[in-house]
Amino acid sequence: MINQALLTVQDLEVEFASKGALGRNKHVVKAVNGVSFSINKGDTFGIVGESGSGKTTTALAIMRLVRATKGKVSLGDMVLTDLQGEALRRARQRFQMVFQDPFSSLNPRLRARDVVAEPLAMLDKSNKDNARELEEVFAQVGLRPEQMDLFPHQFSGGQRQRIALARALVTRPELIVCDEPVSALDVAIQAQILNLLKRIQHDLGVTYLFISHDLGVVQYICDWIAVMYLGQIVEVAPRASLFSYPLHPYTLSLLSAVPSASPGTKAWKAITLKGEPPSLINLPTGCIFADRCPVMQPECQKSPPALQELPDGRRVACHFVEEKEGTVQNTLTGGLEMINVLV
Amino acid sequence: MMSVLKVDHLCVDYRSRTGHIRLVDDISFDIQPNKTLAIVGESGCGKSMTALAMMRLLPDGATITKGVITLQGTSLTDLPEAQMRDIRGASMSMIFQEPMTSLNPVFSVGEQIAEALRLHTDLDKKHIQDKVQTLIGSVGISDVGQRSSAYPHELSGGMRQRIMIAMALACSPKVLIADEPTTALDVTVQAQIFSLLRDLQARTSTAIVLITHDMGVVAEMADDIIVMYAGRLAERGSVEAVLSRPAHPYTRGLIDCVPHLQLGSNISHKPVTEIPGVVPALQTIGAGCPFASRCGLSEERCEAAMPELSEVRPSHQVACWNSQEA
Amino acid sequence: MAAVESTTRSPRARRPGADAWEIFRNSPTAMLGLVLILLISVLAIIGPLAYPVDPFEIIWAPMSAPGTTERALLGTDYLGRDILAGLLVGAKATLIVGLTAAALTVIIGLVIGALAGFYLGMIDEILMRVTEFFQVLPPLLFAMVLVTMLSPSLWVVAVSIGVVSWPSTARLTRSEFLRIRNLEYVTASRASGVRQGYIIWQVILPNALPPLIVSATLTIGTAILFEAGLSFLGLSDPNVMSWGLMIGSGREYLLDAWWIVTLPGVMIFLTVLGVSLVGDGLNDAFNPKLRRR
Repeated sequence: MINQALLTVQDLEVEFASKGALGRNKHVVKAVNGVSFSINKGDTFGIVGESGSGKTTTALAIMRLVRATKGKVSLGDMVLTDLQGEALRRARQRFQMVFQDPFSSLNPRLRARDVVAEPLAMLDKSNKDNARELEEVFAQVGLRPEQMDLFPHQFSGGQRQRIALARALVTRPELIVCDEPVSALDVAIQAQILNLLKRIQHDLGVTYLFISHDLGVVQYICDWIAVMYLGQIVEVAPRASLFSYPLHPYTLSLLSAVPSASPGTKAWKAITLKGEPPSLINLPTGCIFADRCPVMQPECQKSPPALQELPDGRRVACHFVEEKEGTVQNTLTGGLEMINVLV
Repeated sequence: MMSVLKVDHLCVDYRSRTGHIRLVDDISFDIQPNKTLAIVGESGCGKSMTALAMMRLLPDGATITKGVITLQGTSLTDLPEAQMRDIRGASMSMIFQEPMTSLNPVFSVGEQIAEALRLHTDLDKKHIQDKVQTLIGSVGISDVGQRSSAYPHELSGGMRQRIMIAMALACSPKVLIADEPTTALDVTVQAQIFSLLRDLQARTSTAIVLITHDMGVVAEMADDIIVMYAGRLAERGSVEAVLSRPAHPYTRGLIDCVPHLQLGSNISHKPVTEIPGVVPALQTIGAGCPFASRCGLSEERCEAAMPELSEVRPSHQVACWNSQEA
Repeated sequence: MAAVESTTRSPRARRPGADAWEIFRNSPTAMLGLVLILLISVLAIIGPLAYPVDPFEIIWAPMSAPGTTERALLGTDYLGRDILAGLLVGAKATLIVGLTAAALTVIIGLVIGALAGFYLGMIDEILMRVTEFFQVLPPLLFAMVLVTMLSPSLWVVAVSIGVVSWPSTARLTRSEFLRIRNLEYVTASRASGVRQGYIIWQVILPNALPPLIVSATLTIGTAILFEAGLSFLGLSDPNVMSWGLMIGSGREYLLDAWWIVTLPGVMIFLTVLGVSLVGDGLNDAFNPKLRRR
């Protein structure tokens, strides 16, 4: 498994200085705090979390769009965090990004053709080659050639996201980072884009890092999922295990908070978490989730749990995850069926 | 049971230099105390316009051209503006998607709730202060004294929405209109806000009109549902009936096009079905069913004429030629 | 609303600027301004050819009122020179000074504002301190010093005006850059690996242009007034006829021969009015809130 890893992120850290009034009260905030994971070639790796969890900052740091203060990111044998200047610019053809809001991520003054051709500027290619590639990539995202001359405001949200995807695909990257690619779209359009992303992965073998707050979407599209809370990963697991037996109490609460669309058949009630995530400025000394944890124990406020690795490769940061009679479980929460008991 | 709010054949038109379009076309529904009605549809389907029409807060250029809105026997459609002002915030109030823009940034939230009370009640200063404290406490905010003197930007999104709810409930309204109240919030905070709304409803018997695009939210919160498409009513009925046996292809599309979270070990990997295309521009809609161009079951009569709303089973109506087959 | 459905025929490509022109065209005041500017420009170009009289030549009795002689339809000045000839020839000088000064203002302001707003940090600090230095200088006095120190030629006047009036353009450019640099499409361009220079000049600048065009237009008006002010104080080139010079040299005869000062004054008024109306019209046209109505 390790030898197929395309993207490896080791101990990534991003700090922001937040200035108070008049430059006083400077705080250093760790928006991303020791994040490590790796993505296998051809897989989709999801990061879920609430706002302020650091999921988007993680994506931007991997894309080298914000500066990582610590840690190492490698794509194949290339260490992205070491690249500078021209070398970084040229390397960008191997990793591209799709942004959340297709209404703001496309330059309003460029025709669709020029938006998509922008990344080709770095690959000294003739215009003739470009024309062929543009036509091909437009077809791949389901747009017609005559739409290439239109301006972004003449497209609907879903079509704009197709253009954004075409732009990310045109340099034939190995990795595409998708930052909430469907959350700005109308519900009926989301499925079109999700299915398109799946088809493109199937056809081209591209690897996705998929950032989302929507657990349904993440379940639909991701092979592995990391759950982030306050800049840290609290649980990483393959899809099948995460949704059948979540080990971290935060994962469990997150899953239970999603409203279910089938009336009457709702098997469990939501664990209503108390309050909202504490501020990053003064993090608790113990487990970062302790204040809101429905099953908090005295020991949780004393020492932070390590992100321990379990036999099947999944990792979880909770003091109470143990192997018992051959199966791994959280001794405090048990499995999904415990949601009802906890409420 | 007597309905508290009744909307009868409501039409809203928008007039511009280039012509006029019908934003809301012949919408009827009513709602009982202590019940929640969900209005569902894609953006541009007219659900927010319907809500704004009920509050008589339509944007410039949009007017109610037909229909009657009745609140507890009083027709709101031809009420003078001065009397309408007394109703807004008192018998009927509204909360919005982004609480930041609906709160005034230069006043503390306590002052803003007090202002709402001053406008609609004749309580004296002392009582208003007490009431403000009670209201802030009632929306699940613990450190009341400190929070009431906070300014909107000092509060989190979830906290601000709680303040909006406190403000909306200040005068115990008969109807609360909530326009996508949790779309800007995280799921765990959304769960808190909904459980708060449910508790408050149980205590005050307020009728809630909930505007949303999320069928999960509908299932969780609502008793009845209306589905709108291109300004028209596509389907109407109890949530139970509509979600378990959707009769309009658009309703079924809305349910199936979202990857719903599945828990447990036997997850289906069925691909979500797409609704092809986009909502047509309102000025291009002809005589037929506006959904026909995106509908898999579309046939000749769909293009030719708009189907009437017809009953598929008791308290479940649909506007579709194919409703039996669907 | 303007969405293209994938099953329908696609419409013609419509530039974002097309809507702006539509709004501009439908505003009577903006079109009036445009007509005024065009008329004055035509006058400046064709006038001296159609009416080839030297504005410095004495042709008739001094201070003849308009309409009293066929030799000089709009009268003569205190030396007996033809006012009509002065107005026609002076138009060119006035417009040249106005345009040059405005162009200079925009170029200096844009480069400084763009670099400050894009790079931030140290570069921003230094450039903004320089801008503030120029902003606190009294502009008229500073321009007077420049013109007195150098020769009072037309170009020196134009450059002096440019040098004193760029700070506001720089500030406007900087604030636009600060806003746009954080928009997602700029981040998207960075992510796709385009060069920094391209991002500044090809991505951010075109999107920052609308308010800059408005301000540049209004700067033309200010520059024309500025030139008139300097001429009035006797600080412009005495060998080049301009409306400001006509006012400046005729100011002592205001009570005896009103037309010497008033006629060029009216021309300045009409020009600045035209420029301002166009500026306002552009402002409305570029304002996204007025669109789609």
